[in-house]
Amino acid sequence: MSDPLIVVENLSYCYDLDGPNAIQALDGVSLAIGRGSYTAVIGHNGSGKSTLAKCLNGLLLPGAGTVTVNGMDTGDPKHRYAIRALVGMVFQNPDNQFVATTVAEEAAFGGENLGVRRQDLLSRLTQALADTGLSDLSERNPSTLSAGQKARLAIASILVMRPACLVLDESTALLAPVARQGLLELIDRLHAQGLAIVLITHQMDEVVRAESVHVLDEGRLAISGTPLDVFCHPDLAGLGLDLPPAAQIAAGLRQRGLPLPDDTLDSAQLVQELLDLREAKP
Amino acid sequence: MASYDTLRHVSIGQYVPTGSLVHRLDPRSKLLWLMLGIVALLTARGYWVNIGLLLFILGLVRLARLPLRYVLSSVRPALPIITLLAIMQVLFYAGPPGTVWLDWGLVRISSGGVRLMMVSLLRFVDLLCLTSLLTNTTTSGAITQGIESLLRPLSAVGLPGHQAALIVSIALRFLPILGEQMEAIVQAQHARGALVEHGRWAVVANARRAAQLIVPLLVDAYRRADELVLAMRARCYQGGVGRTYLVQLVFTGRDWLALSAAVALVALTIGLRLLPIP
Amino acid sequence: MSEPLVNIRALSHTYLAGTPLETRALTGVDLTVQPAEIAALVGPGGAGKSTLAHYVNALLRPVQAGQVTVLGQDTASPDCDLGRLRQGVGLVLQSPHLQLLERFVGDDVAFGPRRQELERDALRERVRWAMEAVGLDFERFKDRRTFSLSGGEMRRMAIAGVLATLPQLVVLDEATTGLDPRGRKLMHTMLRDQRDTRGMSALIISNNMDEVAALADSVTVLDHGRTVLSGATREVMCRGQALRQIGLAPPSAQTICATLSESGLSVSTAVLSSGEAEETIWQAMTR
Repeated sequence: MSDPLIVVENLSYCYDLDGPNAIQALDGVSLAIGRGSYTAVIGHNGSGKSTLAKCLNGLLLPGAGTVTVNGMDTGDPKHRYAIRALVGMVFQNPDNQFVATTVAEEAAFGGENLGVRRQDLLSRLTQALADTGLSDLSERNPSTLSAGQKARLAIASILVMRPACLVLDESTALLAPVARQGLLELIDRLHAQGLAIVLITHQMDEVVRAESVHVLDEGRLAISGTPLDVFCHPDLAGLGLDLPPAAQIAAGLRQRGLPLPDDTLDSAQLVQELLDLREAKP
Repeated sequence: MASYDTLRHVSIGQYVPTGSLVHRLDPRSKLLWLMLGIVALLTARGYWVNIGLLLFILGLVRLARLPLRYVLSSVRPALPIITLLAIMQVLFYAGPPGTVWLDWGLVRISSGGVRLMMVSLLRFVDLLCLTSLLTNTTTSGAITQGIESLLRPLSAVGLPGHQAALIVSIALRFLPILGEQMEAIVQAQHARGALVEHGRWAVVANARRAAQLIVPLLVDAYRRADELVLAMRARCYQGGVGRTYLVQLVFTGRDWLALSAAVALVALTIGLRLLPIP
Repeated sequence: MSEPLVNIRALSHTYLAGTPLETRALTGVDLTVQPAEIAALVGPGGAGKSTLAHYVNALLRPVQAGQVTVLGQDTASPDCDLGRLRQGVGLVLQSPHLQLLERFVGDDVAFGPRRQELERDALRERVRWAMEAVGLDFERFKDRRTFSLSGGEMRRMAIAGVLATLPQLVVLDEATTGLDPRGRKLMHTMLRDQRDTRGMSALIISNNMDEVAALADSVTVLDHGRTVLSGATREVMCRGQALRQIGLAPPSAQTICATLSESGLSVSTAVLSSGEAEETIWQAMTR
């Protein structure tokens, strides 16, 4: 990858290093996040996904190894805020991150912190609220929003900082199906606008949308590749993973003898291929 | 997220939008009102002046269209303590006694003691209402800004105005949340059969198990604080240094009027001290 | 048919009645859970699911409107034996860390059964069994500090603690949120085993429609405090239109079959799992 946005080199992180409950969360992880790319990070509970996410923008500093964002080392205090403005992070439970009492103030918080001039701040705010579909709700109290709207607000509050990358730590976990779909579509739109996306998730069907996937296992990088590389792995259960529903159906049909191609991962693909096979039948 | 019924006893910190005149005032004038109001209630002397002051403040609460019962309901959790203090004031008052009704060792019941107790009660209700007038009519964001704006001149001598203001407003926001969590913890422990139900005074019956209730609450509060701080750092919070502001506070004619009323009130209560009103 | 374990009729609930922040949480809701049944409660956020769950455990008693009978007892009646009721009905809340009572994991799981006066060895075995059933290795976890566990581990521990009392009914509020596929499968196996061997019923609250479709025998759908749909899982899951209108969706396997059916392939659209979808697609393709 030429000129990646984020480079992670041999990253290790240990919680409670000298204490009785020392946990090696990450062990020698190396990967790169390309500009404008769509990456998924998956793995079993406790595999180090959240820890990795927090290292990407310097919220956690490496115990060993380095993390470089746009050429800046996260370990260097000079670049601290520049890095966090570039790599924005959205957490799972938005309720605990709201600081303001109106949607507009909440979204603007990041911009205010960075000292963005008021005129510029207002236009960024309008843009961010429009992108996330919250323009009509700008005077509402964030705690009165639905779960889906809260998640969008969390994203809007990062967009105001004009980041180059958005890291989402299981942001869809608490959402009902339609709200989850809406959020994923929003993320797709932002990606189309040029934002790099890093999606941390347990939902296998979300993984299929990504261009590249990193699988963590006990703090180490087990697989790095395309979604297909991951889902063709022989021991998914051992890694705490599963096949997305469409792939499960395809695998079952293949076993019964239906000539479906090996790379069927999402439902649209499956439907198309089945219809094609049907057409081809005499 | 469901809100539990103890919230009806925690009216402080809850923004209740009723669209009244008071809601539309600049937060700074309301903050100053709170301070001047406190000066007024401390300088008011005698039964009649205090009763008059209370009626005036209750009138302001009505002006803000806040239901009186709701505002006064915050008193309920503190009732045992207040009753105890009132009794102690009456029994052990040691200042100028006026008429003495009972004198027996340390215990002395006098009209002076009764007066102090009544005035203290009136002042307590005044304070409750004044605080409600601020917190129920102003969003915590506005309160933060108001505090920060008033403290800004002090930042010249190094006082971290914005952090202080933010701490206050976040504390106000989390008060009802922690209230909910406390209720949820009690419910959760009932569900496991860990607490015994004795009706209203269950807290007394379960006093032994206090640690069992406090520890999860503290842990919960700590976790929330942790997440909040992480999110603030992720959004580059640096305190008041070099930040800009989305909302600009503007003092209007209404605010000057309100402030003059507050100043006039204090002048009145101080002036009335000179007259021999009981 | 035998007495249902839970019978709720026309239940209504308003929070903070009489204050400016009054909210209607439930209006005229019905819910039934039979013995040896896994029932599911689904609905968008704020629909009243957690509130309803609190009624099942008598944490809330019907004062406004409605009748709630759990394990044969009317919870509104002052004679209701709450202690016994809570031994028979285990509730695991959405935030498991609020239910922690002891410092160490082993002790916390033992809390419930300890009150059932078991002998020391029997108690230890019960705790071991409960922990293994949820995937917490007994030796590794029994001496861990409860507050040092991760979210998923804490949730499993809470479920073990409830399971250890061998209840007739468990109510699990978002029990598998935050668990990876492995953890989720383990939970499903445990619930099915308990239902089949002990006749234990479960009321699961979840928005994961695939999970509900695979696991539940019956489903009740709430929206804004009202029952929208109720009945056997297959019936409810086939009402795709109604589900989507309130923000939910039928299981993904069904959506795939629906798309195929629309495009002319004669597949059944009443499928609940990938396995069933596979079967009906195979039938249609080899016809």
